[in-house]
Amino acid sequence: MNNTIELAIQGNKAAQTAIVNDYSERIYNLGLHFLKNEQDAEDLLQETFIKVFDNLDKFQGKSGLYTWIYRIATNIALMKLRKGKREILVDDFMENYDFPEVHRHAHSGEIPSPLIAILNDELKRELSAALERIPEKYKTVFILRDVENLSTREAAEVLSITENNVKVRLKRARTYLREELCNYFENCKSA
Amino acid sequence: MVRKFSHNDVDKLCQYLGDDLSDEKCEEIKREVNNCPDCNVILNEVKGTIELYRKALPQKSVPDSVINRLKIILQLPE
Repeated sequence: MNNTIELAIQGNKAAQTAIVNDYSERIYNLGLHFLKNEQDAEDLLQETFIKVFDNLDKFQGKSGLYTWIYRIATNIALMKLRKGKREILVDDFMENYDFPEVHRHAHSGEIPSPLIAILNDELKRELSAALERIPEKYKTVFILRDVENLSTREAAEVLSITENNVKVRLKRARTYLREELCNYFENCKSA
Repeated sequence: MVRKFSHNDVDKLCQYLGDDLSDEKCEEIKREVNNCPDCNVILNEVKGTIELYRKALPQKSVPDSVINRLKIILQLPE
């Protein structure tokens, strides 16, 4: 365990400030990505660090500090998401979806890179809506791995699932989102 | 002699690409994918999808006011 963590556990304000400064941006963005608004992201940030400092003496250094903090933040974000959120009933669909047409668009051309540059508000709304349609367990893995750039091992630690589970969920999320995206572009073409 | 993946192998493996791109297995797959035009298209679609989502969910700086409120709550110096 490094010195900053040990000092923070002892109540050293400078060390605690250093931890806040190091991780605030990541946690705030995690909140924005999960919860979609700035007030909820701020609440998440505050609740996360209150919990971090209340429990820092229990941090054993088995994982990295930032994985541990992410775990706390992700759990709080998921609790907030579950509160009052309508149940999305596509979970069974995702579980049983074997992606039989994964090559359906193989000859329609890749998503053209210039589109990335002209990502407009309508497309952003479409992407956001598509992400909202996937069940939480897939969305969580997608955000942690592909948006927050955690490794498979880190995402597994944060979510307390196996690395293989992370891979399976990520594969399903990506394939579903890719199909949604392809559908969107096809609609655009036919418009 | 270099082992060639069957098309079925590559189908499955392409879906995993973008996973841990530095994995040795993935590196091998990427080399093989270059010999498979369809797989290359799929790989690029997966990469494009991830890239689009990253752009749609951008990283933002934490506003100073948010940091200040956090530090007040945590009783930390500004």
